[in-house]
Amino acid sequence: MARETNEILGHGADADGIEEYDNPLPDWWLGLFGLTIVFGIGYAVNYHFISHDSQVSRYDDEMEIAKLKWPVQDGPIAFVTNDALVGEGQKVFKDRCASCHHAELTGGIGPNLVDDEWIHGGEPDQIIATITDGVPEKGMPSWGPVLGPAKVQAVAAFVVSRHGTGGPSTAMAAAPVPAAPTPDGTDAVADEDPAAAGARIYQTNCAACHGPEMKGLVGPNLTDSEWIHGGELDQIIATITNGVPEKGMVSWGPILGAEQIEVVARYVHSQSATPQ
Amino acid sequence: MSPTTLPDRPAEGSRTPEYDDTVVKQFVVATVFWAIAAMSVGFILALQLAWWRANPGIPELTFGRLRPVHTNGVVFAFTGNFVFAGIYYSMQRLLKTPMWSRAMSQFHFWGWQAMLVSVVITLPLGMTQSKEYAEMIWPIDLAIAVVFVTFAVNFALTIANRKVQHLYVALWFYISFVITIPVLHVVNNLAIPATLTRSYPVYAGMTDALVQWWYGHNAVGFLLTTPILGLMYYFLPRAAERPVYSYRLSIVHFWALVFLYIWAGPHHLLYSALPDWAQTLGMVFSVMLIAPSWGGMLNGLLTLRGAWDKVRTDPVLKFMAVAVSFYGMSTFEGPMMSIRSVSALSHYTNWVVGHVHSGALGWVGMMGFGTLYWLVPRLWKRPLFSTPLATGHFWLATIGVVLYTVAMWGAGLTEGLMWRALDENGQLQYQFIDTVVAMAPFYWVRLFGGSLYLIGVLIMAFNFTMTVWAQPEADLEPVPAK
Amino acid sequence: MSQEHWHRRILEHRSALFATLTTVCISIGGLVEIIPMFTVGQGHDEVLPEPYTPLEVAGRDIYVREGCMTCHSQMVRPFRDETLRYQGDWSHAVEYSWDRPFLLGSRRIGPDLHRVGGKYSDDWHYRHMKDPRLTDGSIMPAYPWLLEWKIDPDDVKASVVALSRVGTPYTDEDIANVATDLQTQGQGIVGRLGEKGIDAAWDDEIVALIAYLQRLGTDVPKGPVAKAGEVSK
Ligand code: HEC
Ligand code: HEC
Ligand code: HEC
Ligand code: HEM
Ligand code: HEM
Ligand SMILES: [Ca+2]
Ligand SMILES: [Ca+2]
Ligand SMILES: [Cu+2]
Repeated sequence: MARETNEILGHGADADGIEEYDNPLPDWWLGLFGLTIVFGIGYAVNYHFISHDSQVSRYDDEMEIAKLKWPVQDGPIAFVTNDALVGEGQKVFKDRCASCHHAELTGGIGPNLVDDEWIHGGEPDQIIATITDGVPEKGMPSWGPVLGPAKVQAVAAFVVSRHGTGGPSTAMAAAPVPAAPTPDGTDAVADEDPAAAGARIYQTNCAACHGPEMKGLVGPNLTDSEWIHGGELDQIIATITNGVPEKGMVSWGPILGAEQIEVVARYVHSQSATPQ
Repeated sequence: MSPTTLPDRPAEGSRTPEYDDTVVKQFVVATVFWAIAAMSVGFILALQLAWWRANPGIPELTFGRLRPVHTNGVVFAFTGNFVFAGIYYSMQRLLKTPMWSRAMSQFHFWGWQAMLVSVVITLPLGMTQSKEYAEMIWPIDLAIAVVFVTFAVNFALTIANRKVQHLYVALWFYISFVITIPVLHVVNNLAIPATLTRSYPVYAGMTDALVQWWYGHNAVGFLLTTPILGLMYYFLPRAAERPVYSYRLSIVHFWALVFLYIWAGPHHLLYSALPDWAQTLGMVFSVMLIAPSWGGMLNGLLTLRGAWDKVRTDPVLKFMAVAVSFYGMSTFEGPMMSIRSVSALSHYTNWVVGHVHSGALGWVGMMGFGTLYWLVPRLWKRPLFSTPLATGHFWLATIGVVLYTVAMWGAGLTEGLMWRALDENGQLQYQFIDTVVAMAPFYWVRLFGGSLYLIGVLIMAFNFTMTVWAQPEADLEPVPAK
Repeated sequence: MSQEHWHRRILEHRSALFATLTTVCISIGGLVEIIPMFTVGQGHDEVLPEPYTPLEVAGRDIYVREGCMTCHSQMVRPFRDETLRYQGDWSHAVEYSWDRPFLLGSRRIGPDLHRVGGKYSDDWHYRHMKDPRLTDGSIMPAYPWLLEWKIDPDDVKASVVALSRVGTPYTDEDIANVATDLQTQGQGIVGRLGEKGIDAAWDDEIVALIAYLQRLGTDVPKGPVAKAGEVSK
């Protein structure tokens, strides 16, 4: 192709004085353009008319290969337990289950896993079946396909190893369902004597870690005058609502809701040695 | 006095006809205002992703409602206004003909600003149609059509009554902009109203998706690309005072772009439920777009040959040189992301946002700044208040774009790879939340890069204000290049 | 100087011809890609899903109003890692038959939601929307106002009427029963929430949103189709 001539076309008068060179199209540019066109036609013809490719057939091939590479164990997963598995299982539980069953397995959205009541049976193989297939309509996801056999085995080993070691349930379902709202729609808690309501909420949710008399167990003593996060009522409310996840204090906001938190916070505040 | 501070001395003899520069000034001022507003919202979005508490618990300021304010703000308010400013200024001089009707120019300007204000009010209130870059509710869609058609008529009648016979390449690109945008807007927004603020599109499901991305990609094509290529063909040679590299290349790359761009929409829907043949068309036409896009880059960069000494001292040319380079980069990255196997990794990730902002901040934004820095001294007949400040803005913008893009590449690759990672048992290695948490550092770097870019815009606004108010009007008339 | 280029000689001074040629050029791509979508349709061999119920329409309007699609996609791609992650088949075109506007989304700041129906319990959604920190590390904003604001049956009826006008097969009876349908479906969710100690009303916006979320992706056989090694049909 012709070399750059840098020859002015002389049409500046038509372009507010802007001149244009009459240079030819660069060879490499024409080559690139040609190449992309050839690629485009070639790719399309091959995809649709030669190899009759499709995204669905690619997916089916992918699944076939996966089936050979990771054969699916048919039949239930055998229950095995040893320290390594329990350790592995604890990590899986923290990642995947604590958000609904509580870090201490005492229950939240999902039921308590350390007491003696079982909806779907407490035998190890029953627990593995519940974890593998889940209870979708009740909100317990089916973990088999997501975790795979090895991890289901590990978390089951962990759950069984913690059986019978935990404190009272913190499961929501177990929490006393507030009595049907009185006709004028106010919540039952409002009519109940505030101190009694505070004590009830405390015993069911907090006693497990702060002790029945709030003298502290896992959680600190709430009746002395030292406060890690402040002893003012609003500070207590904030601590209970946001919790201190990294220290083990549950964030009760999404679980108890603002109203119940205020009631139990007032109760805690009233019991502390020197309510500032 | 450095080259850009003082407009050229008057030409002998040629009496320049009375051009409608009022509307150009108005669009320039609007550009600066909306640039700050729209990019500040971008800043808030970036902060909200890095630190969720920046969602203040107020419905109107939550991420989901603010995001379209940013996207429509930067596309229709920032880019829209400087594109109109550049077109009004350059077309009258290219055609040596004042606008056909000043009244229509004013209706266009005030109508466009009123529309933008209505968008900034309705979107946070949750009045949206959800289709990207077309979120405005149906009454605003009608207003946009009326205002844009008024501009199109004024544009067409000015061309019809032009004194110059042959149309320069910049006008080809303006014509493609003025024709294509209304077609895209009308077809994509066809809907049946349910109430004054809510409507339902006439298309459903995958057809609605294809029409949207036929619109979405070509809104990027015919609002963020062709009119700005038109501005490049006028303002870059004028600023560099050099001939355009190749007239023949401009012919081939114009018609190739205008024809090929339209087909590329389906690259936004690769591996979706769209028929495979449509996906293939989107992919192959996107790959074919590399050369036509680079044709624009070549005609920009190679026109700067022989003017590189000026580039060192003139911020206008610095902005334009880097803008054109980013155009070349994002029009290579885009076609790569249009390849099925690449899209499988990049789609839905931050990599797309990186591609967006290298094109948007790099090409669109910096080409806009270069045009404004060239226009303001000439429109207000005063030297630019401070060239060093303009150069400072240039470096802040360039570093900002690089940080933004690199952060999003890192984030996008991490997301893509983590989503598909398998452990030794063939199970998923990561939960989705693991990828969300992994994004945090990248979101902070992006926030920093974006704030440099925004600070640059604030410096520009200050520089222009001082140029217009703090100095007496010089008596020099702007003049066409020799 | 070389003879005048044909482009200049024929085109550059004929602005009307130039504009017409441009219009032709920009129309070809669009026509070739969009028209077949109307004729070929969207794989109608598969069973058409039922249109959204009034409560699901109300929930979808809230989903659009809050901009959930800016962070969530609704498109499970035909990749094994996606059908595994989202616990269901890849998304079929027919599932979107009544989706006006389409909500495929173009970003996954949050997970894809096209198979979320039935994945979580109603009370999980209630708590999660109130404060997404239910999932530790989430950057999703909280939507407490959805627990307070109420849906307006007349407003929902306007949506159903408009949707029927634009092509969704709602019968006159469906339109007449909008208010009662809202209440019956809403009460179902209120009941399940009550079991978990949550006090909600059938016309709370959160109830409508839960109805929509629980409907997502339930129109194609869901379930462990994508178990490792199983071929989906
Ligand atoms: C999204 C919430 C959620 C998550 C996450 C969750 N669960 Fe559950 N789980 C539940 C619910 C709800 C039930 C009660 C089902 C019923 O009522 O039948 C349940 C029940 C169970 C049971 C049966 C208890 C019984 O009384 O029979 C076991 C065992 C269990 N879950 C273990 C796990 C393990 C192990 C994990 C993590 C791998 C996990 N869960 C994660 C919600 C959850
Ligand atoms: C899983 C164990 C656990 C449960 C259940 C629990 N807490 Fe705590 N709580 C803790 C721990 C651990 C801390 C200390 C956090 C720290 O070190 O910052 C704490 C701290 C607190 C504090 C702040 C004390 C201070 O010194 O500032 C208050 C108040 C509190 N808990 C109240 C409650 C209430 C009310 C409940 C029930 C609604 C509750 N806790 C349930 C473990 C728990
Ligand atoms: C700023 C981004 C953002 C916005 C806006 C947003 N989300 Fe989310 N969403 C997330 C993230 C991140 C997660 C994953 C972490 C979690 O579970 O909260 C998520 C998770 C979810 C989940 C759980 C999905 C699963 O499979 O675990 C649902 C359901 C959901 N969001 C619904 C919504 C709805 C409904 C809206 C609008 C009212 C919304 N989201 C708005 C970011 C967002
Ligand atoms: C001033 C600095 C800017 C910042 C901090 C910023 C920030 C952001 C953020 C956080 C998003 C959302 C990304 C996501 O959803 O993950 C976004 C999207 C977007 N921005 Fe910006 N932005 C800036 C400037 C611009 C400019 C100048 C333009 C165009 C001229 C632009 C165009 C867009 C577009 C088109 C999107 C939508 C991208 C998509 O949907 O994938 N932005 N921006
Ligand atoms: C030849 C040129 C180009 C091609 C082939 C191309 C291709 C693509 C692809 C494949 C995507 C990702 C779609 C996805 O996975 O979601 C994308 C997104 C995007 N591109 Fe480009 N691109 C090109 C040039 C540009 C330029 C110059 C800009 C200017 C700003 C731009 C702006 C955008 C925007 C805003 C999006 C985000 C769309 C959304 O909201 O999801 N593109 N492009
Ligand atoms: Ca619209
Ligand atoms: Ca997008
Ligand atoms: Cu595109």
